[in-house]
Amino acid sequence: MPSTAALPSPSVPGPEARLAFAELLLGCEDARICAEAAVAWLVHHAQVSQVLCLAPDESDSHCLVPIAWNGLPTPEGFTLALHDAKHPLVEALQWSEPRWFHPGQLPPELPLSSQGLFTLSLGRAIAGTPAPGLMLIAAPEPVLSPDAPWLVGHLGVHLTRLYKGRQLARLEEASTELAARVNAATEELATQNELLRRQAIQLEQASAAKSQFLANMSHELRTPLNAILGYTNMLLQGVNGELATPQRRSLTRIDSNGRHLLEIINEILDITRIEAGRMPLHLSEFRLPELIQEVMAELDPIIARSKLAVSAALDPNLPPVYSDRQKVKQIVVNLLSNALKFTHEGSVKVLASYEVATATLHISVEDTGIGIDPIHQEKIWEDFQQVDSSPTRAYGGTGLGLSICRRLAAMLDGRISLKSAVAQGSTFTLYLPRRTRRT
Amino acid sequence: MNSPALNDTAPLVLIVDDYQDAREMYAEYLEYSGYRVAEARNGLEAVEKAFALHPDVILMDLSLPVLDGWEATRRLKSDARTRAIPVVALTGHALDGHSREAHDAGCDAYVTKPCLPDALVREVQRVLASVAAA
Repeated sequence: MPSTAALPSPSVPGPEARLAFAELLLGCEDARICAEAAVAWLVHHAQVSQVLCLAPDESDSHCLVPIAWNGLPTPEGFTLALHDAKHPLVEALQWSEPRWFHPGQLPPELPLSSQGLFTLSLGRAIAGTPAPGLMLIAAPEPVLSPDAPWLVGHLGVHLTRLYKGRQLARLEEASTELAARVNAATEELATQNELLRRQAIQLEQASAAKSQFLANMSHELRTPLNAILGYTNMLLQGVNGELATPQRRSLTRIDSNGRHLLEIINEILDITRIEAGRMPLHLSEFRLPELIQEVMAELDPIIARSKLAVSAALDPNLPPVYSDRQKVKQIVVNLLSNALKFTHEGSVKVLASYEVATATLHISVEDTGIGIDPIHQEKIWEDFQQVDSSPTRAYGGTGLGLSICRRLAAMLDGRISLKSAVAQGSTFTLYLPRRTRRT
Repeated sequence: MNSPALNDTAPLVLIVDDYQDAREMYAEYLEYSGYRVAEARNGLEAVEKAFALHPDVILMDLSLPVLDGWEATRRLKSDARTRAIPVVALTGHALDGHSREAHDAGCDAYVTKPCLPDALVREVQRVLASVAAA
C-alpha cells in the first residue's frame, strides 16, 4: 500500500485563483463555457493533464455527453445513458467523494479507461433536474489535488443552479403555454355557449314561427272553406230553389269532402296547439255516464248506419271526475269512431270502471274489428300514421286521431293503452286519473 | 232578397265581415230565414251603422281592417246608445285567447268559423231569445 507521504505534494493555488474562478462562473450562463473554464483551471492549477467533463446533453436530460476536455482525442460521440443504473460511471454520479479507478478497471470503451482515473460527481440528480455531470481526471496514482474536489464542487453547484434556472424557464414557458391554452379553450367554450344560446333562441323562434304559421294557415284555409261549406249547406237546404237528384248527390259529395278537409285542418291545428303549449286545460267536475251518452248520441248516425251491436257497460259506482270534459269527450269520440270504422261485423262496447287503489278511471272501447298487428301497434300513435298509409288504403282518415288522443291523455295525466291482434278486434283503454292536476 | 218572411218588424242583424263571400253568404241566409240584414266591412263602419240603424244583434268578425272587432265592440259597449245590443263574435281564429279577449271586449257570445249558415242563424235566435227573456 503506497504511502501518501511518499507522493509528491501538489502545489496549492492561491486564494486569488479560486476567487477568479468563482467570479468567472458567476457571470457565465453557458454550461459548456463553465466546464471548459473548469477544465482549464484544473490543468493550470491542479497538475492534471487529461480531463473530461460529462454533462447533460442540451437536447436530452437522460444522458451525459462530453462538454469539455483536455489532453484527449475528441471524445465526441460518447454518451452516458443515465437509465443504465449499473454502469460504473452512473454509479459514480452518486458518490460525493472522488473515487479512483485502477487502469483497466473500467470498460475499455470508456474515455480514459486505459489509465487510472478519478471520478468526481458534479452533484446528485434530484427529482425534476438531471445530475449536473461528472468530471473524469486521469491519474496514474490515486493522488488528487484537494483543489480538484473544491473546483468540481463549485462547478457542480453552479451547473445545478443553471439547470434549475433552465428548468424553471421551461416550466414558466410551459405554464404560460398552458395558461394560453386554457384561455383559448375558455374562449372557445364561451363562443360555443353563445352559439348554442343563439341556436336555442333561433330554435325557439323557429318553433314559435311554425306554430304561428300553422295557426295562420289554418285560419287562411278555414276562411274559404267556411264559404264553400256555407254555400253548399245553403244550396242543399234549397235556399236557391229545389235541386235535382244528381245535383243534390254532387253537392252532398262536395259537402262531405269539405267537412273532411275541415276535420284535417282542425286536427293539424289541435296538434299545433298542443305542441306550442297553447292548448288550455278547462278543468271541471263531471260525470262519465252523461259524457259517454253524449258521445253515443253524437255518433248515432254512424252507429245507426252500421250493423253492429253497439253498447255501453258502465260501472254503477263511477265517481265524478275532475278533468277537462271536452278533451275526455274528444278522446272517447275518437276511440269510438275508430272502432266503428274498423269493425264490419260483431260488436263495439264502451266500458267504464273505477280502480280505487290508483284513483283511476278506465274507459275502454272494445271492438270485434280487423285488429292491429303487434308490429304496427307503435306506429299508429305517430302523426299521420295509419296501419296502412298507402294511397290505395282501404280506410281513409288523417292519421292524426290517435296521435292527438295520446297527447290529450298525457295532458290530463292519463294514458291510452291498446290490446289487439289481427282479426281479433282491438281494445283501446283510456286511463284517466280521477283528478287532473293543474300544471 | 224578397223572402216572404221579410218585413219591417223582423229583427235587424248587422253582419260585420271584411270577407265579402262570407258576409254576403250569411246575409243571404239570414234574409232567407226572415231577418232584416245590414252589412259592414270593417269595425268603423260597424260602429257607424250600429249608431245609425240600432240593430237587434251584431255578428262581429274580430280580425277586421281599419278598426278591429274587439275595439269596435269595446266602443259599442261603452256607449249608452248601443250598450244593450248583443254582439256575437265571429272568428276563424281557434287559438286560445281569442274567446277570452272577445269576452273581455264585451262580446255576448262567441262563434268559431267555419260556422254553417244554419248554425249561425240558430245562434242569432238563441241570443235574441235570451235578450227577450232578460
